[in-house]
Amino acid sequence: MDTTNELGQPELLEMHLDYDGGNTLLEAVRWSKFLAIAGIAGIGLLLIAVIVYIPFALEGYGQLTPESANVIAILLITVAFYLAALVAAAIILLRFSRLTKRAMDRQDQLMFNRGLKSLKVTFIILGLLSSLSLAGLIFGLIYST
Amino acid sequence: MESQEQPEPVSDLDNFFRINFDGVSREQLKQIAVWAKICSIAGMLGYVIQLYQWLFGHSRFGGGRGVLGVLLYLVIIGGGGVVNYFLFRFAVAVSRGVANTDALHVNSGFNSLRLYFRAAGMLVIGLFILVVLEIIGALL
Repeated sequence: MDTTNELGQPELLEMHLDYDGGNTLLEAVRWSKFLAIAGIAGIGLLLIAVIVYIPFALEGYGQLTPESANVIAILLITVAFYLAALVAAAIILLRFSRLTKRAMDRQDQLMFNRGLKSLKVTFIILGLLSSLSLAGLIFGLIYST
Repeated sequence: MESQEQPEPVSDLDNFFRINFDGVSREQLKQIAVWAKICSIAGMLGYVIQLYQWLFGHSRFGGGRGVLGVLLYLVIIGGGGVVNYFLFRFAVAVSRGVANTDALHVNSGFNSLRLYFRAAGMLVIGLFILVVLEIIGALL
């Protein structure tokens, strides 16, 4: 068995995924799958609730002026973009769990790297959303005081 | 005298998956750590601001609407804080492991990632139960 890499260094000196790390990663993959499915289902339910609630809410306001209609339209578009980004993150997280599980079952390095790429994209989307939410909260805090 | 079966010698390589952290995966892990850190810090600051708004009366969620409302709010802020703490631990361990070429740190980072996903999953389950209870309470 060849235990050296192209640089002539023994493989044991490289960074390997050991069995403990692999098993914890497999458990992380299982929970991430649950989280992704729950996220997609939850956002779907939220979307249905919003679609059902909007006509009643608008009826309560009575006749809308063009300015307030514009504000509501912008607000709805923002919420739609936010939810769409969350759904995209959940789908990519599901892809991470599927690819990583398969990679570890088949001991496939290439698939493992693709799984990590999916996790990276998930965290990029979540990081951007968190930063935007934080900016919104700070703006709201300053605006309200 | 009966000959006893000798256990097969276990090679060090048998204790590893045939997956290593090559250049590509190390680069991915580095970027994952950066974005996870951004995500966790932004999340924690967000929860601190929400806690401030809740305590000083500017809350968007209208805290203090009965026991379930307070419980829901505590679960969101407390649970969210714990989840982001695990994510931060994951980011720190992985970035340290990649920087020092130390698989032990990366593997312990995966343990924090497991705890992060597990805590987030439990938080989702808890929130779902509380929302259902709140809806039932509102209907009664």
